Amino acid sequence: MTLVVSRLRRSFGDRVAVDDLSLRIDDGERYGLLGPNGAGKTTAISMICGLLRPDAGRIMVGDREVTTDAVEARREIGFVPQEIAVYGDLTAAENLRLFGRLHGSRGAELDRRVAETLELLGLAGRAHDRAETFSGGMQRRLNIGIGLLHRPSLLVLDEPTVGVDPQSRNAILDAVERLAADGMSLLYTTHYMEEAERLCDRVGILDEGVMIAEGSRRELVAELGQLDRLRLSLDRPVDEEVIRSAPGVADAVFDGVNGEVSVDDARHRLTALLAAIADQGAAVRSVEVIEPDLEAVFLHLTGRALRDGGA
Amino acid sequence: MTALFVVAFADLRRFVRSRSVLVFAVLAPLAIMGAFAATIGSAFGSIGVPDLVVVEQDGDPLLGPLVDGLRDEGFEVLTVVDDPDLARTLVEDGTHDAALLRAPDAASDEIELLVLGNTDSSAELSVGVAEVLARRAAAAIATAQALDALDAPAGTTLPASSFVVVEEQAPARVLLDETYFAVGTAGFFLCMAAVSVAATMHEDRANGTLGRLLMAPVGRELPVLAKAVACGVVVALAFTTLHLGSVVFLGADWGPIAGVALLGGALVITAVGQAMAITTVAVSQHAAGAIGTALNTAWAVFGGVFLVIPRTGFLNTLSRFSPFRWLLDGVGVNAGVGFGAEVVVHAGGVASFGLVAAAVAASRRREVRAG
Repeated sequence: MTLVVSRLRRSFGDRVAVDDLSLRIDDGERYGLLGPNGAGKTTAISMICGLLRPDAGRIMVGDREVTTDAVEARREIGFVPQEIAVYGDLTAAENLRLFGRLHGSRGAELDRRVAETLELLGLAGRAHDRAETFSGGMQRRLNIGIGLLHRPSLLVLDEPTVGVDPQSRNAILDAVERLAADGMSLLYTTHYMEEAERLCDRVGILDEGVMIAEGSRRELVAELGQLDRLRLSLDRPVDEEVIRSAPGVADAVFDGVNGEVSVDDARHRLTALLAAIADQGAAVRSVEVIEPDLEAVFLHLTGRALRDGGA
Repeated sequence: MTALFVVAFADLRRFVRSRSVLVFAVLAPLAIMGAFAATIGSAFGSIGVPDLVVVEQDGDPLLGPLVDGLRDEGFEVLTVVDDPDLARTLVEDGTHDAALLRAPDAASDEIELLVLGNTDSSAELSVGVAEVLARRAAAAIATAQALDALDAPAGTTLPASSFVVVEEQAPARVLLDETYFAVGTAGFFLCMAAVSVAATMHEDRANGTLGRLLMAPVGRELPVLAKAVACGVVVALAFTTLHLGSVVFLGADWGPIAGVALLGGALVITAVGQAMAITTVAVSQHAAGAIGTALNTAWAVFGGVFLVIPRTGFLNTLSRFSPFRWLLDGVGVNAGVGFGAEVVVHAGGVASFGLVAAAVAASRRREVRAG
């Protein structure tokens, strides 16, 4: 399911929350919308999901216009809000059945989907326990389950791992990866760079309501002009000049057996570089590849760290 | 339509599990009804039972049994005289609230029992009670006459075959103590309970489940309508329970079931309507609770739930702006006269408050954000 957002704008009083936002997510694509707290991510996806009317702009989900055909468009969208939006006094299965019915599932099909979703999220053993008795991480998983029970074509997740312990976070990311592998389009908002890098094919960086950059991680890093770095530990010193002459290497600085090499596309150049070191009779004890990340991209574009927030 | 009931049923399931609605809508009002009946109810009785004078002339075969009948009912504040003019004087000078006497120009085949009420507004409630008692006694006498007629030997001269109660001055549609407080308490608590149920909409908004409902392929009105349905079911079930509870445990008399059902339906409309209006106007669950408490307490005070309102003057007029006054009067008519057009009118009076409130609720449309 293709999502096309064109020139979206929304203000609250004098404050412009989203300004002239455009993006496109193709069928089966995983798109990350990044930005610090207050950047306008939640406002943007509230409009995309039809929960908030834009002041201007157009949103198409497949061939449905969200602002004029919201009910039909919402059949194609699964939404996982940032807060844990489950009924605490209903069981996990009852929560899923309620929202499944609202999306038109009935009878055996509903039973099957509820069971599959509980299994996918690792909640099958707690199906008949009230959600209020769950840990925060389990409630987060149920929160996601409600959004994907009806097998939407486009799954929209608004910072689904905020405040989650590492174990549950990993379970959530695994589940999202499995769904994406099944061909579901994904719109994922987060301010955790590592999640975006793990899950998303492309990312858009939003700051103060404005899309300031968009592309794959590699494309964004390339625009940044920064090189990868290789941090090496050897068993004996080598000649720095020989290392510098290896293909793709821009610079090499060694202090005895430890050194750092700046290189264009480290993963592809690594084999040749290790061969050059071996030619000097040295062996590599350890090697660490350090690639410029989206955090660096954001810092470069805005002059501040992504997790500073305050935008 | 299916989605509406799916959401309403989920809400009802949650209310049952929380138990707070059960306590607020059923157990608390029943307990308070009992407390009223045991304490304030007896005080109400001394206000409501008239200081009555009955004219019993020598040889009158009917007013004698009437006096006995009234005394059998525990009617102790009773003066018996044989002079109709004296009785009128006792009423006119305020010594007594009402007099029961034969009408002077009655047709030969019937007896007209005149209930002569004091014009003092403070006595009107007592006069109304007097008429209720007179009607009840008259009905008992008529029944006894009919039974006597079956056993009488041929040729016996029987008393007049009909017994008509004629009212003068006071309306006769006034509830007696247990029922009065049962009806008032039920109305007040059910409207309060309805607000507490409807105001969970704000809780749903705060925890994100409202936004989640709106993400389903359903109309934007669905959450509000579903909440209204759930609220109505809660109020209807609680009303039925309170009606039966007050009848069984407190001896209340609400009158014919058709009238009770109609008035109960009207109360459901008003309880739900005002609750939804308050919920849509208030900015938070706390604010909705505060507004609901203020409105329903005002309605209860001015409508006579806690204190009986005089039937004339400004307070009487003011009480017409409370659905509880219409409910109390409606049940009074239903219990005193029986189900009929007058009960329908009172039910309409009760429901009108809810319909106006529902219009207010319908005019309020809020935009819901996901977070």
